Amino acid sequence: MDINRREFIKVSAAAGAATMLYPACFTQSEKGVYVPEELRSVSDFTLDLYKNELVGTRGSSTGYSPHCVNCKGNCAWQTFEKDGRIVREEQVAGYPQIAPDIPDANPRGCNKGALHSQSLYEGDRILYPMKRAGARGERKWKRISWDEALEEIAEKVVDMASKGEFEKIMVHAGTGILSPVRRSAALRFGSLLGAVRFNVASAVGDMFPGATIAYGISTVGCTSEAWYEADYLLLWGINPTVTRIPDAHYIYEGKYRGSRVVSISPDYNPTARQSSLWIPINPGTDSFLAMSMSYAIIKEGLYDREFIREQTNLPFLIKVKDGRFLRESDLMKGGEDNTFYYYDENKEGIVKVRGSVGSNELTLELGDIKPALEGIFKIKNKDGEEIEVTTVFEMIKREVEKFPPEDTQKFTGINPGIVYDEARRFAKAKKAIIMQGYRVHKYFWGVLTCWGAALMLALTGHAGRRGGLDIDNEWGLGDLGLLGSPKPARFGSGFLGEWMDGEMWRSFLSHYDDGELKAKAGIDKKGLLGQIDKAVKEEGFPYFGKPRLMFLFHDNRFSHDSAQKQTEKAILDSVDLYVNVNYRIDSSSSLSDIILPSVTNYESYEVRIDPGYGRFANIMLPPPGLKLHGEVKSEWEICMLLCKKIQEAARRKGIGKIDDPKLKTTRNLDTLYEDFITVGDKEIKDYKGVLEWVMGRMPALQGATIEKAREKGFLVPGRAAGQTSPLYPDRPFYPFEFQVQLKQPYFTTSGRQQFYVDEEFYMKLGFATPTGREPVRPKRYPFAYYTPHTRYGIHTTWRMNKYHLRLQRGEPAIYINPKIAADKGVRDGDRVRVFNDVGEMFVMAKLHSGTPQNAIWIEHAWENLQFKDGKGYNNVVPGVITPLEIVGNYGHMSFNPFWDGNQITSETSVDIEKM
Amino acid sequence: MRQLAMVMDLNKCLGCQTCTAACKTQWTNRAGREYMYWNNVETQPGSGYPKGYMNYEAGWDGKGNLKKGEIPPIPEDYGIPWEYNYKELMDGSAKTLRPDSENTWSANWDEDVGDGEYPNSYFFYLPRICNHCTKPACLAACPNKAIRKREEDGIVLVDLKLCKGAMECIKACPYKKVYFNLDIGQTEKCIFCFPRIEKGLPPACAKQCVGRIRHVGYLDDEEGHVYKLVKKWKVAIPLRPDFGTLPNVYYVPPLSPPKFNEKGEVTDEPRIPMEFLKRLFGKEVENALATLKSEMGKKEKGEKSELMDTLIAYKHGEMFRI
Repeated sequence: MDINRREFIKVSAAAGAATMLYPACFTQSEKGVYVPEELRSVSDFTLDLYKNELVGTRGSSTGYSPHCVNCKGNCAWQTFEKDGRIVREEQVAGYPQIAPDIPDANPRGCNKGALHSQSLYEGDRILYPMKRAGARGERKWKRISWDEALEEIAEKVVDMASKGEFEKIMVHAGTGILSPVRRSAALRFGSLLGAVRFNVASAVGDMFPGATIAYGISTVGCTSEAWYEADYLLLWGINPTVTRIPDAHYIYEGKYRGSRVVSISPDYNPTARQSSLWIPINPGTDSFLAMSMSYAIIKEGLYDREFIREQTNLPFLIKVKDGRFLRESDLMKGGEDNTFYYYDENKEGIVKVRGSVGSNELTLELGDIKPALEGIFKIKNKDGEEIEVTTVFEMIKREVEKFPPEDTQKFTGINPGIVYDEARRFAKAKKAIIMQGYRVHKYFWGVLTCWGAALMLALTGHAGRRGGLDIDNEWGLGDLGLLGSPKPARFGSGFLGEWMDGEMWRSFLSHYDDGELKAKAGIDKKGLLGQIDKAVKEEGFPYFGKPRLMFLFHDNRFSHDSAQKQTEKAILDSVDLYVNVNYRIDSSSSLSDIILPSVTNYESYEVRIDPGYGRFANIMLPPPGLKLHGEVKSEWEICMLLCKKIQEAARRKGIGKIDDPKLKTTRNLDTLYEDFITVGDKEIKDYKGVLEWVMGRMPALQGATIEKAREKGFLVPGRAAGQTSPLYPDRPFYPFEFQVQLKQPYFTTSGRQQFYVDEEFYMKLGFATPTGREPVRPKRYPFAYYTPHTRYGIHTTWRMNKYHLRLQRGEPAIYINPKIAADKGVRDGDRVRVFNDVGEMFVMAKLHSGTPQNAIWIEHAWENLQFKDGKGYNNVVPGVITPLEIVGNYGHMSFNPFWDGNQITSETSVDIEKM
Repeated sequence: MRQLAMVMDLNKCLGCQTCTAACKTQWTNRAGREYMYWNNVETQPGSGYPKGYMNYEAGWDGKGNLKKGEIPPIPEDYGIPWEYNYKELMDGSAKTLRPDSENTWSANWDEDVGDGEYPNSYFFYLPRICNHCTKPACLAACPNKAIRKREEDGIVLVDLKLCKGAMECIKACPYKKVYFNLDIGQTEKCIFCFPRIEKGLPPACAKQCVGRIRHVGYLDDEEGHVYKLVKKWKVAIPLRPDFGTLPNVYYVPPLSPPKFNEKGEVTDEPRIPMEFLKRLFGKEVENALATLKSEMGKKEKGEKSELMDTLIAYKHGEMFRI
């Protein structure tokens, strides 16, 4: 629309000149009614106008869809099609209530979902295959046909594969398609080629290693219904009002039910404003708070002895002399390394623990054993020498003793009275939940904060139906390996892959101060780089070298990578051909050599079940009347056609099966197409077929068909969806009921919640138990810089949508405390330069009294394209890796989907100046 | 005459703008309405939308006369519905995604800003639609008798067969919830989604509200949430009752976490100053907040509370009795 200002002023002036009429009859004619009868009817013209508009927005055919980006939401929406296009969407809002005293989940959804229809036909939608016609990133394109695009790519694949260069081909599906049907196409294609893909959660920094240390897995959490039931809810480094929009109502309905909601965050955010108490904390000092809370719990005797005896490794024996576990190998020649010991108070001697990795008894049952929690005991080792042993609990107590709230206040800024008071309320709550968000591990000491929170919960027995840690529950999908991994693939570490490809050590070296790092982390820059090197070479974190052919499917690595401009160059300089599969122009597709246009939500078939806050599986079925926009294709079709072209090219050149000796298989270019479409005994050529196959393999869906899903737009998964507890149909889900109720071991080496790690590097740096550490961000720039999530996007998705931008400031803005702004001569709406040694960016200043004076922040994942000179929010963020995440080869702390590291993005200091 | 009304619970409001988005795609993404937000969510304390709307002399004075009123300037105070250079960004002729006019104000420019000094900062969200007032200033001001209030549900509508674009309604409305449509030269406003209501669907903003803050029903329906919250428990009160228009949108006023003293200790004082809340919601706000706290206290002790159960709203569908 064109609001013509001059025209409007003209109209305004005319209106101003009119005589104002005031109907004399406008009086109180009957009780409470003022409007005269003659003004109570409306013309049919007006009524019909709006009624017809409504009919238009309800469409001529309807479909269903969740929004399958990297969101923990997962909501059932109905889509409305008119003239071949989606015109609107609305939540189904039909989920059944699980119990009369628990609010139902309706109408799950959010502002992004409600506007997705508007982004389908926006000017940033990619409609045709395009080839780069200028320099990379210049965005000069030549439209090409699908055949041309696929043939050029196929030539490159055949050329590299025929030379056995599988490791130099990257086929990575990013967080834009975290759903089994759409994702499977890229996984299958990459797997058949033996290409590299990164651990996607690690690449974007969404891992929870702190939880993995404690539990052996990190898919730990509740359904959001549990927030309603909890008596004490601690929201730590998470802003659910903004980032868990579909579920957040349960928190505030729980508050009306009588729960205490406490929010910990440096800034007064929308969740803080709805809480019972907001605890402002200095950025990055959270590990101190966790230790002080445990200090108060232990000092005041608020811990649950029976729980920690059975469910944790706190009674495990430690050798006093070297701080290592007492193992069977200490007591007998050829003894097991993963068999540990208690001191049994009943027998007054040591006994083997059951349920650890080295034990063949898969239970946590103590029977008549009463493990000692405290004390020093003398035993004989295998050489007959008398040695002293003590317990993990003693070690924990010793560590906790260093962090009284009175001492940690100088770091955290939190009054000790608050710590004691909240520790008591937390410990005494019948059900207590600590929620932590993905932000926590974006700090150098995030692992300690998370592990420390797990310790608080363990000490107080908050597990199973009494609450627990709520970070990232996921429902079991069942075995889809045949679809996504038909052949052995190259699964690389995410954070180390990005670090190595992007040569991020350069910004790490420039940003951090050796002295500060040594003093606070106990290791200098060289030492840390040495350990990173060791992690890649010896500790089992796979890295395959920089790619020369790169396929990115809905992955925005050039937005989420640290040290943006440096990283872009480091990655792209070694890439010969970069293919981006996407539905829109973004920070990454804009840098590519060939763009292939894909479908997006509403246009595809899909089922989304895994995000564990909600309990329903939502189905994506396009409205029957929908016409695909431009020349977009589904990812399955794109990969299928690629395979076809590769196969044709290979046959033409007489290339058949190529040995991949490292993975002990062959790469069969001459049958690639048949191999792609043949899944088990099925031939699958489209997404509907994939959806049928996937649904048939998901035990939690109990045999439901697409037709069944079409009835309501969602399905109700059964008990099997739960991975550490059953998903009961009539009560909230809490993790670890199998462990707490059924006494099954946890997934750790100890088989228990683990709070002691005697790995060499950990011991050297003092991380054998949870502890507290000071931030390492350099002091030479005055402000901590952090980048929390926004309510207007799921990462970069939807950030460029004009409807969302109109509800913000139209461009990126940084939050600054008004006093700091005044010092810098900055007024609200001014443009400022944010800078440090790593880089700079130019943004609008938003004055915000809820921001502390020692930090500035910006919502993360604006597209780089929204900033002057393309210098985005990560252009000032150095590459950095925490020492806690580069240890492998230690039982459950070895590379696996739960043990990989993070890109640390909030351990940064910056300065600002007015432009 | 019956009256449909809406209660919005400001303690549950997430500020997520799903209501705004729902309303936008339902009615205002087309046909000269692009700049309008029939539903908006603003941060208070703040300028609101349109900017500074509460400062215009509008509504009724104490003697039963209409105040003079003013028309907010477009685009300065409503915010421009920026278009973006997507095409130029795509073909490389533009380096950066930019709005097509200077961005100095928008409908939500001061989102989350509020007031107070760190760490005693404070803010809350105020979602707003047309209040479908019992004594609508817009209706009284229209020289063409084009504004109507329906007998069956009290919904206030601009009759486009009669509207001549005099804009007296825009001047008169103290909430500035009537908008001038430049494409048709007439005014338009929130229609309480009457075509949806007639199909048994709640208004888009209410049905799609994921914070579950909006209860919709007839004021005289004693079984409905609206009656219970407005009439029985008196915790839902209108915005700026001093404007004199007798709104039919009611708000459950916001609680806030406690302030800190200089030592960083927790005090008993809520962050949002009572004086500010009284200015917005009148003196009734004190009683409403006291009732909320005492009923929350009952629930905390495990006792029953009809009020809390109503606000919790166990079944989404029961929030609407239309």
